[in-house]
Amino acid sequence: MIYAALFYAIALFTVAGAFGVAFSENVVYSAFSLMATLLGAAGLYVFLGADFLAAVQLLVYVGGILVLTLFAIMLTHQISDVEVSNRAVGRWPALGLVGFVGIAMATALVRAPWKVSGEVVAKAAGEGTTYGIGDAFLGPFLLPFELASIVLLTALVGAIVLSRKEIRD
Amino acid sequence: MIQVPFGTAEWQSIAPFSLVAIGGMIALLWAVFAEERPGTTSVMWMSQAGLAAGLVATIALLGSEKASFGGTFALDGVSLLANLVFLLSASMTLFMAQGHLESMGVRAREFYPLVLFATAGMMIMGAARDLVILFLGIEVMSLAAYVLAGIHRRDPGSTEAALKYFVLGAFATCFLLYGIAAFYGATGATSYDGIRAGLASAPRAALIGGVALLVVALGFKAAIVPFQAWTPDVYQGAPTAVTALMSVGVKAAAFVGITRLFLDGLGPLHQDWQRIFWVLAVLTMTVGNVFALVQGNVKRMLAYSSIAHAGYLLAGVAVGTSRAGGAVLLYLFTYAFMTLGAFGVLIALGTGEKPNDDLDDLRGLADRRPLLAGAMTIFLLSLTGIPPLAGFVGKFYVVESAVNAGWFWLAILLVLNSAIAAYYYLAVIVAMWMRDPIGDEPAWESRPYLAAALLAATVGTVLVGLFPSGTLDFARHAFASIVR
Repeated sequence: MIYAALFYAIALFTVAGAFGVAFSENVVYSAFSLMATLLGAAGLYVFLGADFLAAVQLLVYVGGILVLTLFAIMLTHQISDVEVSNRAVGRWPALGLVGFVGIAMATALVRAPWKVSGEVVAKAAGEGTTYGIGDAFLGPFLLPFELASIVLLTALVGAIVLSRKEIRD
Repeated sequence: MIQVPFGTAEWQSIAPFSLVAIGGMIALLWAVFAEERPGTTSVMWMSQAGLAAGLVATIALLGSEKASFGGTFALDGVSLLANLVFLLSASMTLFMAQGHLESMGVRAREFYPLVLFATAGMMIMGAARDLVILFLGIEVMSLAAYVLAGIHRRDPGSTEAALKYFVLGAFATCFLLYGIAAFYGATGATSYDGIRAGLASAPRAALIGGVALLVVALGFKAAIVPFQAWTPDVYQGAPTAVTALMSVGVKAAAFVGITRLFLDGLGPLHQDWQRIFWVLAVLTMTVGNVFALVQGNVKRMLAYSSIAHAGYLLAGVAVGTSRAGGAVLLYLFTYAFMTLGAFGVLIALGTGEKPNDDLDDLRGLADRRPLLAGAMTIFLLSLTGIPPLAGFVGKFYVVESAVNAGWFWLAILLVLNSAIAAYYYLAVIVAMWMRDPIGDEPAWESRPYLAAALLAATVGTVLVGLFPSGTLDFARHAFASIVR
């Protein structure tokens, strides 16, 4: 009972945040509403027994990316005055498109053969998923785990090459 | 306690790309500490050493066939032969860039390590038998390529190229990830073996959606119509050495990735993707050729021509037999030599002030620089598909495999398209040999490394054309174990 109430409260919190992101007139308010959405998503991960994912969501998205977004907004001159809506598409065509995608997604949701993985969640609730993820990274997913470091290295080198003061003769 | 699966097969399979990546890291450190003087070639040579290490490992492993990391990373003829194409194009790019970058005023010596990282990414793509590993390989390659396209920071064209490539490339990555998610959701696996096993019991809608998403994502990397809109601007804006790497290495990696994914992992779905690829192949070759006809800039013309060649390659993928797979791999080999050569000639024409790559700039080149004009003529004739040059062999075996599998219309359309292509390739040859030059002779610089690369490309174009059977047999044999 409390479990269900808590779930619906967090789900409402998440969706309300999403509405805030979409409908705020001011970009700064949108960014803060995004925080509610991201926090809510972290809460939903906890309900799924994905403790590791919830922690990563908090650390990376709320702690990192959102702060970065806010910095970018605050440091960008006069961005709060910008009209964020896309003028190329009118409201009615947009509504039609969103309606179509929404119906498609709803159909998929209803018709998908969902696997109820009660035992997975129960197992996760016992010892958490972090152990399993750690083992997977050093076991079957060793290669992707190591390759990710090459991706990061390349991105770092590239960012420095493109953004540093240019060397001239 | 989980056992870490790491034995001889694992070490052997990661050796080629790891050596190249480590070579890149060493070259990067070397670039930081080495003495900075104009004309230094030490970073270039350090990077070449990294590529050479990868080449030695690849050649030493030729002929071995092993599954590693639980079958998610392949060590087989296809990955090794593909490695040769990637290493060749990277090495030629480094030689061609030496001097070219300096005359444009680009001093960022990270260029060379970044080429090595891109190459490592291509080699990962060529061996990936798991969608997650394929994704990581694509990202390593693409991130390096985005930066390389924009390495000439004072040139607006180069910056525009980098931005367009990056924004659209990131968009394509979304499609890739959604496609991977669709297959994971439908089959519960990301490895090709796991996907094959799960295909039978998977919901059909998810599979079709997944195939569509993966076709979009990989089609973007390979510049297949209708996902090619970025190609002309990016190829023209990027420094020409980078364009050569993108149009050979990146495209080859995308095609090896496509071939392995669809012929191997999604082999049982061939009736679905063959039809898609049939249409896209015809569309790609036709659009590439028709747009190439009207270009007044040779670099842009070569960009459209590379789209057309992607169409020919895709025709081979659509046929989908092991014979066709071998033909695609051979085509990549022949395409590498002639395309690198053609872009190399354009590099040789450029001076510090001006790229000199309009059709008018090539007029009368035979009088001014007969050797360069002669080399360009060989590359263009090969691109057209004139025997006995490499380009003919590549096209011939794609057509042969199509006819062999009963795809007559595809073969006919391919041959007709080659005839259209002859028009714009020959126009350049006519301009070089039969027209009078316009304006004063540009102050060309002598670039020994570039000359050596062009010589190698010429020899390769002729030799592969004369003796294709060794490579072809190897490539066909390599695919025989993949296509089931």
